Amino acid sequence: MKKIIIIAILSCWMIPTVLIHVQAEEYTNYQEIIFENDEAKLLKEYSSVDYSAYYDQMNKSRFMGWKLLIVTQNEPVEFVSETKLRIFNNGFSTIKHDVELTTKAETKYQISASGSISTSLKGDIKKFKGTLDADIKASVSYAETLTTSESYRFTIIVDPKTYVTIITRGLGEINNGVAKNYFFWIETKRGGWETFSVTTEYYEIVKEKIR
Amino acid sequence: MKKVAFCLLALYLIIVVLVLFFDQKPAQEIAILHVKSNRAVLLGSAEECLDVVLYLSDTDSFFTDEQNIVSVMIQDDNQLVAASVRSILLDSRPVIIDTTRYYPFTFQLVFDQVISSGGQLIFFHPHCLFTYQNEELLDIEMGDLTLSFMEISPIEHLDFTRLYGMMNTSSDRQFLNGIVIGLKKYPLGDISLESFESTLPNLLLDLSQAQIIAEPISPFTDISELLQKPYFPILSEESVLSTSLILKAEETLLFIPIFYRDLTLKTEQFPLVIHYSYAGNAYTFILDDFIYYQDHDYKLASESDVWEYLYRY
Repeated sequence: MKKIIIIAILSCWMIPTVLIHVQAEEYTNYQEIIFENDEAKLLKEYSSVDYSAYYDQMNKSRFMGWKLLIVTQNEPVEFVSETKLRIFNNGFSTIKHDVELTTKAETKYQISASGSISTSLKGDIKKFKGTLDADIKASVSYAETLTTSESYRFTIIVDPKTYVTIITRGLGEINNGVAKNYFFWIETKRGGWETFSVTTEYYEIVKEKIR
Repeated sequence: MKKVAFCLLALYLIIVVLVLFFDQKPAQEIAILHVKSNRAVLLGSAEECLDVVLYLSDTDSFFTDEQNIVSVMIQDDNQLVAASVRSILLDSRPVIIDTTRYYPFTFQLVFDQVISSGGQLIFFHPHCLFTYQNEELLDIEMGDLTLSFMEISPIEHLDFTRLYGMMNTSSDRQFLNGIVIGLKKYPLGDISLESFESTLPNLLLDLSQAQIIAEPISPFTDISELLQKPYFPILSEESVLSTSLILKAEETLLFIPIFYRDLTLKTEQFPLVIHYSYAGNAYTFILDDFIYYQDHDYKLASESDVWEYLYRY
């Protein structure tokens, strides 16, 4: 009976480590993310073989708390993000649009987690649950924002049967890796973590005829 | 008994620490930061405003209370313009720099007292002066500023189909080294482009080195390849950038290189004033002040970009 209970408890611990599901934010759905370093990859691209290899590098257990392995550190990336705006003028007369561009704090710094690592929302910023957030911030550097202006206004005239699109590209930094949590030398959680911070955004405006 | 005494002692120590922690006197100084940049703003109406972002280490000071502001002036050595504060907004999260928490306040300035339709004010290294009821003067150093009081053009002969900036990322400092603009002409006859103006005297668009490109290129392309010669962003005083370019096709995609008088401060935003001629007449096509890029990383701002002020009381 004891053996069955022990196996059941161990299974409960194992389930989250076997199911690797990434809790992703918007940046993982960007049209394009290209690393400068060809060998670097996003957390969502980690294979189960990658996870096994990284966990094996952290085989020494600890008394309590999180143990981190940084796989990708401050790796520069280029990205093409989502379309910020699309305005259609289906009418027969010219229209004037006032567009306001603001980059949300949630876009400037984003995180993802997999396995049994979870995230929480505090204010408008997502954080890794528990002390892991502080451990990661202490291990990797991330950008602080100090901009010339917080939002920009742009007036545009749109011809009939025309649409306007504003897209953003940019440069950013990715940090990712895996982590394990211990409680009295017993591993209780394991999974992957990733931070994405935007360093510069570039805007592009396109006017096209509705086909 | 020993345990009880130990617990009481521990409790006493915790209370002492908490009292000391929470009983600190309020801050005796307020730190204020402003990121300088060269800006060109198109103000099409009295409602349009100029945003000045100040980072303050205190959320509740007289600096950010509109009622306490007596006057606002933007001035350089030669000219000045009076402004009014429409509102002061705090709608972004604070940033932590060197352990100090700074809150970004946007001061929205309007020029309703002096707006002159069609006029242009060009300030070199101006100061923005806020005078408060307590006679405190907040004297903010800004980058070059051009205020153009003009409306964007209706589409007549010419319209744009695409617009983005080309970036130099090879040096330590990021800057725009060109723009890509798609132009569409409506009349059947040729249109002659005479010049492109950014309205900033420091930033010049060189039409004489413009290239017609077949399709959009990456904003990170090395423009020396496009120009087929090394690109040096700083322009000498003697350089004259004037030539015309004939638009024959209905749609043309142009790359136009940018040159600077100096690169001390970054320029992220400017309007485009395109002078062209059609059928022997001169016209102007004005595009609103587009934001080409935006830095989000404090590390990218050099020390000379940031104006700092420490108010002690």
